[in-house]
Amino acid sequence: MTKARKRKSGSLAEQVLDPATLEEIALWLENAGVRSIEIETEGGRLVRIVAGEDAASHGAGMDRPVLGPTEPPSVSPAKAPIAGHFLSVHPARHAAEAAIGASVRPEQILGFVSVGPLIMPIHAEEAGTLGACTVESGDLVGYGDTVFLIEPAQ
Amino acid sequence: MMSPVQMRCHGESGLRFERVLIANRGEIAMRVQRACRELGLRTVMICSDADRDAPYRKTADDFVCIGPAAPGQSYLNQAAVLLAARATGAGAIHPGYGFLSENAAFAEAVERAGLIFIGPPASAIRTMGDKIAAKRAMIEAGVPCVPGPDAALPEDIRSIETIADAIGYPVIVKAAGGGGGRGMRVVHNPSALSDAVSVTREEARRAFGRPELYMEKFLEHPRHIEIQVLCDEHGNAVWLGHRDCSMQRRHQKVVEEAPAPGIPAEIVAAVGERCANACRQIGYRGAGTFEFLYEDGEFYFIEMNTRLQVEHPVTEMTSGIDIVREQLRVAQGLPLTISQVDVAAHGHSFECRINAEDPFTFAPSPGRITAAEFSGGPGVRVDSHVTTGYKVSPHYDSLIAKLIVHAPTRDQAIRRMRVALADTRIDGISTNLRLHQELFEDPAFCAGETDIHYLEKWLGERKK
Repeated sequence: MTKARKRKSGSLAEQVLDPATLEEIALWLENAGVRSIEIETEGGRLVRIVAGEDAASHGAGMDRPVLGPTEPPSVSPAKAPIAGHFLSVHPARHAAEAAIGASVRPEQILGFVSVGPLIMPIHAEEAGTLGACTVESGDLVGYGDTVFLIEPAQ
Repeated sequence: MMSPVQMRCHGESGLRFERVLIANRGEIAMRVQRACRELGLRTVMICSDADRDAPYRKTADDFVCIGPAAPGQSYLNQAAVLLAARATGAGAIHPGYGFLSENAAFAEAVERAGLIFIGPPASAIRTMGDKIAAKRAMIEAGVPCVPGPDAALPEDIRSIETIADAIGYPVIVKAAGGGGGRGMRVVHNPSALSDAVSVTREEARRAFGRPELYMEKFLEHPRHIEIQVLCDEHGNAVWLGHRDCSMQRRHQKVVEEAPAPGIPAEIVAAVGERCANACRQIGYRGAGTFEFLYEDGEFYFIEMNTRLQVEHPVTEMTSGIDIVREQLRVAQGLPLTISQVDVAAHGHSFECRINAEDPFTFAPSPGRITAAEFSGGPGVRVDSHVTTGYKVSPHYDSLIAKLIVHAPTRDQAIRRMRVALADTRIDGISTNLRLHQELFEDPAFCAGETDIHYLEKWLGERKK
């Protein structure tokens, strides 16, 4: 499941929790192929917005970007799921999800892409060693852009 | 011409937006980007996976992929476009033509997101998207329409027969929510009416989600004439002259020209003024086009396109007005730079749509362009995004270039286009260049005033 968490505060949190806004975010998620998102307020209140059934099938039906010809075949990319700003560390945490050189497993979260109040995780597609991060935190990334390189496990 | 510095002086708070997301691709994305750059606006170009190597990425301030190649998951994906605007800090969205340009719900979503939609208000898009409502609005504004009631047909076939008798056969039955040549049937006599209504109603229900039909007099040999308008939000509206877009194949325009040959200026002026007046009445904003059928010296309104059109350059060439630049200024809340007395048509202009398609079968011809050379010189303009090495995607419209010429007279413009076509070379894929070359040698086309059926008939005879 594609899932994201976000800590909101003050009036913005109230704004996000407005039913009309929630409905709109859910629609965006559905259209973007995301199943759910979590929004966490400073008061510890957690809201999970779950998109409709179509989101899963929509996301599953998306074409997987093809590896560029310049990328070595021995390296597996982890790509941005959506256009936004890359975050190496989740705003609510203090450390990166995975360090360069560490072993990663399939579906492990490696970093995030943020768009306004939304935060989308970037997942490893296969097991291996996290070789490099190709962008800086805060950089604009697009759908399908390579963000991490993973050296697959033998 | 107003400089970027002058633009920034507008109002106390400055510009409404400084960064424009261009929600389109191909030549029109490049065209809009150039206008933005001239005005000192920053550009955000979006792309699909198939367009990652688009040449306008080099000149964009931000270039971001928003989804897979399939248009429904990228250029038509409203959520992805809005999220990209949010991520890049764009203050306005220019939709170009096609894709989301005439989607009222998208225009509303853009405004709801706190951004500016560079186009008319959603209400105007919605009114003009409903053929019956559009016709009613035009009648109220005094714009001449095709004979027939400005209301949906009743269910009762006897009542429908009465309406058809009053109009006079042949008549055409059309879907109120239709367009692009779909959802319509010509009826030549009363015996065929009932079946035509039933079939078209069902088609309308399936294709457009609503079964309402309307009926009009069917014109046998009309020409397709357009009037370009520009409006601001201060109550100013001008018409910029007329275009002849009669050279069509399957309702797709192939060659356009401005002005339309052989139509008395006083007739055009009267209709043009009514179009501008209609815009004022409906609170229109930005660029738009009134499409008419023209037969026996009379104009008949068919629909309004609430967006920039592919063929806008021929009007730019004859009027000297940069329509995209005006769109951007109007979206900033600025008044039009011109009034009606400033508008005049100079010379004659043609546009050839160069498509990546077989010149005989019209089958799309995607693939890599191994050599691309375009013409140049006085009065020649090329709007294109392709260069040598560009890969034409199978996912999108096959338009790869617009070859536009301008000259003092129509005959000189024809000769200029012949040379421009001869100087154009695109290798590696098939194109319709040869079709254009043959058309510009055709005596009837060169004489002008051919009707909307001429090209289809000409192509039929060409096969023989």
